[in-house]
Amino acid sequence: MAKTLAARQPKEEPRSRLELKELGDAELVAEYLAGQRFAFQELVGRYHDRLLNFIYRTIGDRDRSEDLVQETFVRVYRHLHRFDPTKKFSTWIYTIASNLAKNELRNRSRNPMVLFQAIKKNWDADHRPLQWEDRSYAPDDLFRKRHLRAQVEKAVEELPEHHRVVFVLREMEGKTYEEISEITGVTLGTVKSRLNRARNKFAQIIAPMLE
Amino acid sequence: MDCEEFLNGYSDYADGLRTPEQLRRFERHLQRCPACARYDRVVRQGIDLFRNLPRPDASPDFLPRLRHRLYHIDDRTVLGSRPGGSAALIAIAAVGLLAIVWLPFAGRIPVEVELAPVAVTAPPPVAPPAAEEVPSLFSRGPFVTPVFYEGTTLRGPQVTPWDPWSRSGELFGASVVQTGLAVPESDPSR
Ligand SMILES: [Zn+2]
Repeated sequence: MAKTLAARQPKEEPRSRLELKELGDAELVAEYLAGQRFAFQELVGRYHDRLLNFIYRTIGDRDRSEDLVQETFVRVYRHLHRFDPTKKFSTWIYTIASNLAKNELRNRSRNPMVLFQAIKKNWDADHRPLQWEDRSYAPDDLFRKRHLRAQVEKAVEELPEHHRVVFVLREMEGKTYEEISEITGVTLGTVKSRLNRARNKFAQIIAPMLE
Repeated sequence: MDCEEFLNGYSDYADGLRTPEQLRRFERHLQRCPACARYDRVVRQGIDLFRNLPRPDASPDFLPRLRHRLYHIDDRTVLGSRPGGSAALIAIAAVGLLAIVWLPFAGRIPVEVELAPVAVTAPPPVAPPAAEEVPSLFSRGPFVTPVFYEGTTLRGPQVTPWDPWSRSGELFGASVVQTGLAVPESDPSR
């Protein structure tokens, strides 16, 4: 720990934020470890929205997602000196976030109260008088779009957890199969089959609403 | 190509992961099979909608909260590596200070409480926490300014130990008036 901190003492002139913006992720890590303390802030700026979206789409709870993004950065910060610069930083940070999201889902599935709340939340969402509000104020296509969006969200939530993670990483975050394999710790073949099944299930759920 | 082969290899086709010749076979099947053509259309439209879902915004306190947590990691590292610094002692001081800060707001029902004297012994210095950290349960709670003991004196930025018998005083440079909390009319020790 003391060693890590020593590495964080500035050795050279502080770089401007503009200069830091020009750097790649791995360079920012190196700069941070060499004492450029704004370099970590730049990494946070680059990733916090993306991670929030990824975790939110995986676990479906906005506030809890924010806590997990915080936890991701705390872990990255503590283990930054262990980051292997030959690897992609984004893969590393998504791996941490993905593990936290998986743990969250696992813990929830063991907690009957949370399960009850999730069921209640879904029931509330289903029984909210959205149509009436929307139809009176918005044109039909706007109503239809909102309704579709809600159904798409629901369809993704219905995917089994390990399919959903792969689906979100591919479709929302645009990760390659290799990156998904590294992030989730499963083989390329498994990524392919999970993605194919996730798309298949997603299509089955969403089809009646699209045609 | 039949429908089963098409569906099993659909992801490869959609992501262009097959040879050009194989991709042409998928295309040919699509042109003559309405069921698979519909499937392809539904997946593409659905994914397009999914990608365009509104993204959640981080709450305004996200960055300050994170900065605060990171600050404490550095802080612990500094104090933990300093001779005589003790993380346990800091934790005790922080909890103590938290109690003092919350004392004036503890409740509106007057309750007279007599506390037995407590003897506290400083624990021996402990190693800084291990690499893994349990997520903080207090991440949304009030921020506690770090304090530590130097000998028997509480040290920290702008900290004056709170006198529970005083009705007003200063905490972190702000004036604080204690209300709604029953305290003995006179200090028995005075
Ligand atoms: Zn077919």
